Formats: sequence, C-alpha cells, structure tokens
Amino acid sequence: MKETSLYLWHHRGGRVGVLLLLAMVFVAVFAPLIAPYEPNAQISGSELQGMSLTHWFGTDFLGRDILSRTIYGARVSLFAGALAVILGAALGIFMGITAGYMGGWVDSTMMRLSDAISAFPAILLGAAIVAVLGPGFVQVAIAIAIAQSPLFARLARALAISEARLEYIEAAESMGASKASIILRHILPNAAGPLAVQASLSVGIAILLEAGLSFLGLGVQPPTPSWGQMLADSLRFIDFIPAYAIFPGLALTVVLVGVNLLADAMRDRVDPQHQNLGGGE
Amino acid sequence: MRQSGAAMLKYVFGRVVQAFIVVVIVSVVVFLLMHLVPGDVVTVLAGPDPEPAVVAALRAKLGLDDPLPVQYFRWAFAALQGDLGTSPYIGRPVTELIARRLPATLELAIAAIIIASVFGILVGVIAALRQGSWVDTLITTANSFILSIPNFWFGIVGIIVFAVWLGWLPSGGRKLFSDDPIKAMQYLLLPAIALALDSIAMIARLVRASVLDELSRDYVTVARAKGVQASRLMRLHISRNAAIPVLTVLGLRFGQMLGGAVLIESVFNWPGLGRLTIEAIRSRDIVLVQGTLMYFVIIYMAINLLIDLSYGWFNPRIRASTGGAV
Repeated sequence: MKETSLYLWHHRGGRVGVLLLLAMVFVAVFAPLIAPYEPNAQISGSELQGMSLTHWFGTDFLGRDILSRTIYGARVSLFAGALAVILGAALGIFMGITAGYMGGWVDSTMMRLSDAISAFPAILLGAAIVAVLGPGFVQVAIAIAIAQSPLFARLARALAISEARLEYIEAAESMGASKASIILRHILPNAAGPLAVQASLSVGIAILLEAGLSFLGLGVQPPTPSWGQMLADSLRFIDFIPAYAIFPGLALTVVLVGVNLLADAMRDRVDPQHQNLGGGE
Repeated sequence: MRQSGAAMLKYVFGRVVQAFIVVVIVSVVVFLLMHLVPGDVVTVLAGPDPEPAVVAALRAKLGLDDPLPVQYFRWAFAALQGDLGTSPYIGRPVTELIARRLPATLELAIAAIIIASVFGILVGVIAALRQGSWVDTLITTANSFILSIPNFWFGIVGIIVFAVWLGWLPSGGRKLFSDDPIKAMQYLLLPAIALALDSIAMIARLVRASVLDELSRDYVTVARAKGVQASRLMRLHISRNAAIPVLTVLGLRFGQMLGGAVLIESVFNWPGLGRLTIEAIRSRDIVLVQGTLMYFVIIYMAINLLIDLSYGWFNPRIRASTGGAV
C-alpha cells in the first residue's frame, strides 16, 4: 500500500492526478467554508447576472450564486462516482469470482448476463434503471453500478480462473478449506491489484455518467446542485450568460483529468500482463 | 483447405448462437425491467378518475391481465417478426418511430466517424513520424486531456464560441441535405465534431502506436535500406498493417453512435434515436423504450459479431483458440 502511494507520487502524471483529486475532495468536504454563499440562497433582484466581484461566476435564473453551486456540486459528483464504483465493483467481483471458481452453468449464466448488461448503451441502461427506481442520489449510483458491473465481473472471473489453477489453492482445498474461505482469503487478495486499476478507470466513467444522467434530468433532483443539472439549466440561458455553462463543465473536466491521470499511473504500476485479462472495452 | 472451411463455419455458427443467446437474455432483462416501472399505461390512457369498466376494457385490450410469461412471449415473437409493438401514447408502431429518427442518427454518426478517421489518422501519423519531438509530446498530452473532456460539455462550449459569440453556426436543430446542403452542413458540423472528439484522440493514439510498431519491424528497415521512399512505404505497407485495430475501434464507435448520442442530441436539439428513447423513458412509454433498447442491443451485437468474424477471417489462430470461450 505504502509502496503504491510512493510509486504514484513519483509517477509524473500520477502526482498531478493525486493533487487535482485531493484539491477537489478538499473543495467538496469543506464546501460550507469555501463557498461565499448558501448554494440554494435565492438573492432576489440579482437573477442571471454575469461575472462580477460580488458573484465571481455570476448568478443563475433564480439568483443563486454559480460559484457556490459549482463548489457544492463537487460533493454530488465525487460521492456518486465513488459510491457507484464501490457498489459496481462489489456486484461485479461477486459475479466474476463466483463464475470463475464455480464454473459450469453458474459460469455461463453469470457471463451471459454480464454480456447482456454490457450490450446496452450505458447511459440509456442507467436512464431505464432510474425510471424504475425513481430519480435520486442513491438510485443513480445503483444504476451506474449495474451498468459497470460487467467490467469487474469479466476481470474478476479471469483472475479467479488463473488463480484457481495454482498449486496453493489446490493445497488449501485438500486441507479442507471451504470455497468461500478460499475465495475470500486467497483469490481476492491476489486479484486486488488489477481490480484496483479497473476501479480507478471506472470512477471516471461513473462520474461522467452521473453528470450525463443529471444533465438529462434523471439524476439528483433540484435544488441539490449537481454539475450535470447546472449544464442543462445553462443551455436555456446560453445567449445571456455563457459563463454559466463554462464553470460546472470545467470543474467536471478537472475531476476527470485527475481521475484519468491517476488511473493511467495505477495501470503502469500493476503488472502490464494482467491488462489483457480484463479486455478494456 | 476443406478442413479450414469447416472450422470457419463452426466458428461463425458458434459466435452467432452466442450472440443470439445474449439477445434473448437482453430481451428478458428489458421486458422485466420495463414491467417494474411504476405506474402503467392504463392509468395514463384512461385519464383521471376513470370508470372501472373503462380500465378493465383497456387492460384486456392491451393484454395486461395475462400472466407475465404470456406477455413476454407475445412481445418476443412479434419482435422476431419485426413488430416491436405500438406506442400507446403516440399511437404509431415503434418500428415506424425508429425509422423516422434513424436518418438523423445515421447522418450524425457517419459525419462523426469521417471526422474521427480523417483527423485521428492524420494526427496519429504525424505524432509517430515525429516521435520524441515537441510535436509528438504536444499531441500525446493533448490526447490524454481530450479523452477527459465530457463531449456534451465540449458541445456546449462550441455553441458559446461559434453560435453565441461568433454567430457562424446555428446553436441547434437539423436541416435536411435534400432541402439545402449548405445549411444542413452548418447544422451538422458542431454536433458531429463534439461527438467525434474522443474518437479522434482514441484513433490518434492507436495509429501512433501501430505505426511506431510497424516502423520498428525488419521489413521496414530492409525496405528503407533498399531506398524505398518513406511516403510509399507508409502508403503500401504500414497503412495496411496498422488498419485492422483502427477499423475495429471505428466499427465499435460506429455501433455505439447508432445507438444515438443521447447527450449530444440533447445539447444540439438533434432529432435522433437517443432523444427518442429519453423522451420515451421520461413519459414512461414502456413499449417504445422496450423497442428502442432492443434495437440498440441488436445493432451493437451485430457490429460486434461482424468485427469478431472479420478477426477470425484474417487470423486463423483466433478461430482455433476461441471455439466457445468468452
């Protein structure tokens, strides 16, 4: 763990990624201290203002401070991204390791199911799941998690199959270890590296999907500020205050640049041979 | 020769069966998912405070009282015959609604693929030929950055710059090529570039890597030693060998784009399939959502299958090794 952190810090892109992400996490956590206004405070008489000294990024159609809303938006984006990946990884790893270790019909069923999930365009599958669950923060995270689970399932399955062939697993089996304990104590820890790389890659996709669903009005509901929803609002007033559309998107891009730099560095860290097992697409 | 033909047939058959199984599972998933959507068609169609008799008659007419498996098989068999049902809200067959939106989606996808291939290949080849120079560094860094820009936001920025500030291009909508080709191009340009953005970066990366890989091969050294011109070498040899991975990525991207680019279409008011689906999801038009989702999955699976099969065709080793495996 310590070695990995050191590696990421000495990796050129990795360090930039870590710093960008830490900055964004800091902004999200300390939003109440940093934001100049309450994110939902409607300042009457100051609707749709451009950039000024009192409102650096301007105000929206309800007279809310865009800078403050952009700062608070980091919370939804980062938290939804993290939650979606944790849920998606848990679901996918469970499916994949069970499939790989059990084999037979369990394997074929799980893998065809994950093929089926990945055959959908992710954003439309997410939208359809949100239609079932209803809009909201947790619902969106669940929808994104389901859409992402096949990536983890395939990788975990491949890792489980290659591990299960090794002698030490055979030894553990012959000593009477149960299947569950072999999976938890032996297979999972050894598969952790590649799975962590996949998770870091998935965070970026999850954050982008959350923004996309919010943009379509299917994400976190107003008045909670989210970048996707701010971008959707900004389109209605793009002729009056273009700045409205710039900053939420810029914040989103900064987060994605950070996540992707970190993911690239993690991929360089883990044995490149493992890369082919997952099938990046 | 005959043996390899039989192996190829077996391989094709195996892949087709596999794809079909996935499509069947997808159809079950779609069907069940849509039946979990709260609120049904009848409550909307019958209006507020409906007579119980009216509701019962509507439910019977739409077959909603039958057991779920019966409803599924009725839907699936009709779908097999090309009938995806009729949207109860719009009152038109789903296939007709899809067909009506398809030209816009196709137009946008083709334009984006052309832009992605032209610029992606150009940039990738330049980076490879100038390997290690500042041009290469610039291109490589820009690529990583571009892959992190959300394309729908890039589209919005495009609107601000080219529509709001400069006034050169319209901010959204679509015009038909048959009516006014110049206008149609102006409407198409921004959404197509926004949709192509990440593909340009992806293709450029891939082309750079493939060209560098080829340049280090012995045959290139030999050809150069024999005095073959660099441009001729690129045209005749390198481009051919580097083409397969590039075509694969382009094919996959095209398949995804045919599913409609929901976000880009929403930003630019482009009347394509992605927006049709989102509108259907918003209005809880279950029949239409089922139909469009099935259409996307079938297109996606078909393109994947074609790519897989073309691999098997080009490379006999793949045929032998992936008999039935994932």
